[in-house]
Amino acid sequence: MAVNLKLAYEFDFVFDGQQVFRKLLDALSNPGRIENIRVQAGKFENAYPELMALGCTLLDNEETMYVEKNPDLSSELHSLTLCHEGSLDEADYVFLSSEMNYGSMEQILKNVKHGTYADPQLSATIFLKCAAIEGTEEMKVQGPGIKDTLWVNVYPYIKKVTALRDSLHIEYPLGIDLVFADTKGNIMGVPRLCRLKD
Amino acid sequence: MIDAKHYNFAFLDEGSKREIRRSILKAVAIPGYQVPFGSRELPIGRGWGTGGIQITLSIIGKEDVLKVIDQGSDDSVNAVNIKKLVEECTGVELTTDSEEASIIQSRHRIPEIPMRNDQILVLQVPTPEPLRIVEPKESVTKQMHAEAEYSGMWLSLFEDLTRFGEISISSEYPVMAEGRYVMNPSPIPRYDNQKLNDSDTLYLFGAGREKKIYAVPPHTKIESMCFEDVPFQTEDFEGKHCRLCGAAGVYLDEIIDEKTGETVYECSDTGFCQKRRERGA
Repeated sequence: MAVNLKLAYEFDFVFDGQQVFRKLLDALSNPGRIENIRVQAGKFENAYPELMALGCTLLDNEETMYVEKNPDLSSELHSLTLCHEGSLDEADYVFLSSEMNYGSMEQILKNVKHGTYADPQLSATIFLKCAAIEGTEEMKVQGPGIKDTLWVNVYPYIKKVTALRDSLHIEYPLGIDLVFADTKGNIMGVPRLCRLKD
Repeated sequence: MIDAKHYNFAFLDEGSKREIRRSILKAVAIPGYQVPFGSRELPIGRGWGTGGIQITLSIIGKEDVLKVIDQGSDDSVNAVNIKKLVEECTGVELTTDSEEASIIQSRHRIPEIPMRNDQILVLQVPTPEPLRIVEPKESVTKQMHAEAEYSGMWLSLFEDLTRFGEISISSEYPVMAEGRYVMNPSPIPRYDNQKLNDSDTLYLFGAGREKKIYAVPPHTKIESMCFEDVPFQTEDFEGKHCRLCGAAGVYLDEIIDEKTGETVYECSDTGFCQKRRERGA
């Protein structure tokens, strides 16, 4: 008797992965621009589809991840990508599935890998889940990828985290690249050189 | 398209693509910095554009439209072979019109028509390390970049200036990316250097033999290295024009007419030239 097996997820690692990557590339090349991965993320049936889609696009057994206080997300990412979880200070990719308070966020930003002067690429990329990307807080940013200066209205958490990262005054080329994702599948990149302006 | 049972979409396996994609994202975050990556074997010899091909294969999707040029030409051997490979293993649409393309892979030229923000230019790079002319050891040049120790590069330019009365570098003219990294813009002519500065488009550079990827995101400050009293100069085509389409103020190839012995000029960007002629016809 034939049994209809239900797929655990519909995400196609070849084609959906490529599309998520291009959106992510656009987001990091054009900081402050909002890209959307809802279609691809919608192929995961769990509480963190956007983080799953981003993780499954970039992670494999060559990388190390850190997932803050979310064993379910960590387990699912590991199952699908074979990426091992490591400590915060050795992780290449950090996943924050809920909004952090100021003190916790500061500790995370201080303790993740910032890279070295010879190998600045050995730094962490942090994926942060937030309630929304667009919001009421006006954020003025400058840096590569932005023509002169960009004013963008964002959810207050985004501005707070960016300001906190900037306040650490990590000397370029060392740094931390941030990618925010919301529940609507919107993503926004804030790479290390994209900085807040008063 | 080749048998999908035996080859993955875009030829490379997904693990390879993921590593290249991760390297591209880091390169975008650190403009001008050469990110090391594990360059893969391809059915084409290293030194024939494998860095550019690996980037193209890693970023391309079914919806993309691809243009490949070699020294500005759509029809040269290198461009035709790369186009065939990518088309065979992806089934994407090909074009010679740089305005229609979403991805342009190029060797030694940036198209004449300014590229848009929704396009990506992938450049093939033979020697990504601009400091190689002053220091042969990779471990040392890596440390020089780490310390932004570029006095050797400046001295090299100064020696060139004192020897020839001008900086004689014709292509691969070094640039400073975002005021931090000295970068080799690939063997584009000096004429194209200015197109890198504050551009609307994303430039990705791939060196397959040297196993390096680097990038210039849109609107990045790219300055050609020069001295305060010796400004950067591009090639001079004053009074010259393309014999085919009549274009002036573009990068021209110098050709000797075999019959008359006369020196004539043609647009280096053949797609641009062809389009001008079609519009004029």
